Amino acid sequence: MMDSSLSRRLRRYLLAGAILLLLGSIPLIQQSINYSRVTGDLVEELVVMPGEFVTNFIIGGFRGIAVDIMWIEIDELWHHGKWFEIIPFLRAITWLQPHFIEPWALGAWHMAYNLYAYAGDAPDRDKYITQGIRFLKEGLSKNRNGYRMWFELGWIYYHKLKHYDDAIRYFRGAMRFEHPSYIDRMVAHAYRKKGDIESEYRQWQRCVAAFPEDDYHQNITLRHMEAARDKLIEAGLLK
Amino acid sequence: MRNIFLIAGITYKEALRNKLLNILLLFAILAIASTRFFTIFAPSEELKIIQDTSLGIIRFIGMLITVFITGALLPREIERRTITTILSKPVSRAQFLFGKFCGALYAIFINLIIMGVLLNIIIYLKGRMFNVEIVKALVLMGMEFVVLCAITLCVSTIASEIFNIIFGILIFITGHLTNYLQHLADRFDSIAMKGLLSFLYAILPNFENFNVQNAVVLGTEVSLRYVGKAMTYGAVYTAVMLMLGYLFFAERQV
Repeated sequence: MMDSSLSRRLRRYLLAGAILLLLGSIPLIQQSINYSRVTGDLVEELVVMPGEFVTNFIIGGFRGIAVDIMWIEIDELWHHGKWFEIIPFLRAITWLQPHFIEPWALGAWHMAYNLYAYAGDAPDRDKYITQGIRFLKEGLSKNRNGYRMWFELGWIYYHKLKHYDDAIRYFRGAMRFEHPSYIDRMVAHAYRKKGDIESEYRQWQRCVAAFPEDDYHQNITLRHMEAARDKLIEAGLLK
Repeated sequence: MRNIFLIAGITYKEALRNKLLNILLLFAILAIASTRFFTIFAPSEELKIIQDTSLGIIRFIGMLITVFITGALLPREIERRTITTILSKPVSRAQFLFGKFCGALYAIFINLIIMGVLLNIIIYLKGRMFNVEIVKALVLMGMEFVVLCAITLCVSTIASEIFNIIFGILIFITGHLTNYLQHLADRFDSIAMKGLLSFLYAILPNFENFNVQNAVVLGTEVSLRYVGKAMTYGAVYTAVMLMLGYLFFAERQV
């Protein structure tokens, strides 16, 4: 009887010892997992506060549905001309789905183009372009590993602000990833608008080499390259 | 071993008869099947939205199924007094507890497989492709449910059904926030606070280890090495919880 009680007690001590041992190994495994998450590009940026995370988590898989409901709301507001009320909805969508590009791109376009135009001659209309750019930069900080956000930013600098150096910088950022051929051409266009014909010509040359299989791209590129070459010859910079 | 299989089989059949779990599964199936209708506003990102929404639904419903199955296992046996009949036979408490755990896992995995197969079919129909990364995400999710099942079972050896269910849901949410503790610890100057937060970080389950949803949706490859490490973490945590549960259960009067 006593033996059985003793062996039972011993078994429990052994079990408790095993628990402590295993518990002690958990931080080591966790450290190794953390390392793998960093090297394997699995780290999630802490983009939201814990409170926001809980809401996001509770919505969980249904956030896609929540986002669609908000898109419907945006559509309604749009048709009623309530353009400024659209912004909080777009913000909420990017908060729920920060890795989806469309809401960032659309939000920035809405601010920099629609709200800018709607503001008319108001002295603060330029602030909407700044807001659009800030919005895109926030989106870029969460989606750096793809061409799209880089291109969107480059486009606003190119088309809206006519800051061609910034535009070229972001277009080149986009070119570091798999990207469509028009981005290479946009760099050349930006050089032309900037008045730097030599760089434009060099970029057209790069464009020809970059997408040899793309007939449409080749046709446009060769035409522009010829025009750039003519300008250089005219200016005496090329023989 | 035979005793464990018998108890696991009975537990599984009981779980299948549970109407609430069937409703949850049906809801999940309908929700996953309808994800295609929720992609109208982002036509260029349809596949991403289907994967993101479906994986989220599977995690959420899977968590509820796990907690509802496991939380009720022991309290119901004790309430109905069937546990005394079983334990009066040559069945040890360890066998009983492990049999219950295996039976619950069996039911949880069947549900997970049904939802996972459906998701893969939908992805195939949409993109004419089979995404291996989705399978990895589902495997890790399966391990997440194993850990949650072990924690809930451990608590259910000393608590009531309602408490187990609430605790299970809360520990699941907390487990997904564990990484914040580490970031908080880095921001405190007080050594006591740093120590407390680091201790909590080490002791609480870190369910984010099993979460590769965003990586999968964005097309990042999850290495098998990482999957292996996360599985090891899950196995160790599960072993700790089961042993702790046994220690509590061995002391309990039934």
